[in-house]
Amino acid sequence: MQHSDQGDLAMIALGEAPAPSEAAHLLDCSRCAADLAALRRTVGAARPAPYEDGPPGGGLVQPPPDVWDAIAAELGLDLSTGPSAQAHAAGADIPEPGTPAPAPASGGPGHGPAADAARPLTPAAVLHPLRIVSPADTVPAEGSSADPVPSRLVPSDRGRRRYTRRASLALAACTALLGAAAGSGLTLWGTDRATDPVPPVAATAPPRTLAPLVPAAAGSAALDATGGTRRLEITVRGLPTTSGYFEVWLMDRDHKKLISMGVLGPDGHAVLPVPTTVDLAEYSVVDVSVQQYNGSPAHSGQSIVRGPYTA
Amino acid sequence: MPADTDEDIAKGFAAGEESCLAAAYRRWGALLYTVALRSLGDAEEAKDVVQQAFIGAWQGRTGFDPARGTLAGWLTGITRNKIADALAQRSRRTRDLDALAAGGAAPAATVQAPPNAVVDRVVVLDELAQLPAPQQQVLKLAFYDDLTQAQIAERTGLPLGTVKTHTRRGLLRLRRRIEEVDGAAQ
Repeated sequence: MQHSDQGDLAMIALGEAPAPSEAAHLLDCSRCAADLAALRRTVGAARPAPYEDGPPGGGLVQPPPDVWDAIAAELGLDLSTGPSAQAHAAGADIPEPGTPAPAPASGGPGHGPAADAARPLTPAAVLHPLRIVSPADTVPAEGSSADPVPSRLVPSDRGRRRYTRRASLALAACTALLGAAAGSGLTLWGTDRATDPVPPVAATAPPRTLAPLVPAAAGSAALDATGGTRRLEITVRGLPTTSGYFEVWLMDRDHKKLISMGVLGPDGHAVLPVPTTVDLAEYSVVDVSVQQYNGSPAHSGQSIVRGPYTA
Repeated sequence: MPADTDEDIAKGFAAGEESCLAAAYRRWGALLYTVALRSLGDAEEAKDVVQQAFIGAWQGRTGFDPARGTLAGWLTGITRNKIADALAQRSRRTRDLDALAAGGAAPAATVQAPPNAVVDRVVVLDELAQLPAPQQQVLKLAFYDDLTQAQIAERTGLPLGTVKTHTRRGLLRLRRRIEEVDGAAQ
């Protein structure tokens, strides 16, 4: 008996009609029927369930910072996790005297962005789903204890450093990864570095000027829809100082429905992927807000610039 | 992200490197918290579940074998069990309250998707976001735009055979990720 081709089963799971011979085989063969059931379960999990609204990408919610605190406290961890995490978080201006910086993040103080830009940005990373709002890795957060990222909690409030030079490969990998690991929102961050590895966007439309909502701000946005992907390039000058971070949103004209596009770095420039499944006619307005590290993924209500971005 | 990075975290975790516990938390904390939050609908309970899952995983790390499965799958399986515990506790509380009410009106039951569906969805969407861009693009068109393979080929300009290959490979990877959680939760 010829078993079903996995590719054919994939098509059936996605809703294509099976060929008559295939359908007959599936009635007889429990193995292929089980394969099909598993693929259908997969498709069903991926497709938006009717009770959910919001963008099809769904999204992850960052746990509040005290979750990690409780874990570390319970396990009695002293997580001075090595230098690269701090070097990566150099935007946080946490000096790490006497700590050797490994090669991937060898930038000196103030060179965190450059070190980050050296990290390759994969296409998969760019296409990470929406509404992952990681406060990690953003604007200077002077010892902000509201930061949910473990490696940055530690050095400021734990005097005893236990980082020894155990040069195990796994340790090296993990410390190097602390910032760079596929940590959701972290990946988006890579898009807005000054020396961005993503080629400059040749916008199809000239940038639109955005209305300033705080006195000193001036911003512009342009959508590039060439090459089957859509990217929003946004530039804001005159950003206010904050202990939080800046977030880019798409919203409808009534400002009722919002989609988070990602983080705008303190340099005020970002190129963010816009899923092809977002209806741009509906979400026709771009907005930049200042957000606090309070664990809430919602818009803070404090906008800096706002306006339509399509030509 | 390259697959070996997750493997490095897993190896270090199994070896008891505290930095790899932190790395695992950074890598999968949001995923597990989201699973817990969506399953339980309560942020405090979700926080407890994630704490218990990471603490339990770290204390029981000798039970994790990187050769037999991924750390993500294992952690998700533990989280799923903690969610089941939390739900069981909740229904015990409800029964106690009902007994106290002694025939009074039962509190309205909250309708919730079963935890498995929640886990499947969060895990699948996370894996989808990590697929190579072409597989991701093709699958999203199939999932969310309901396009046939031929329509996807037309839309993307890719040959039909390539579209089918991307679909098959991508879907199989999503399926494996779900089944890893099944295997880990036994």
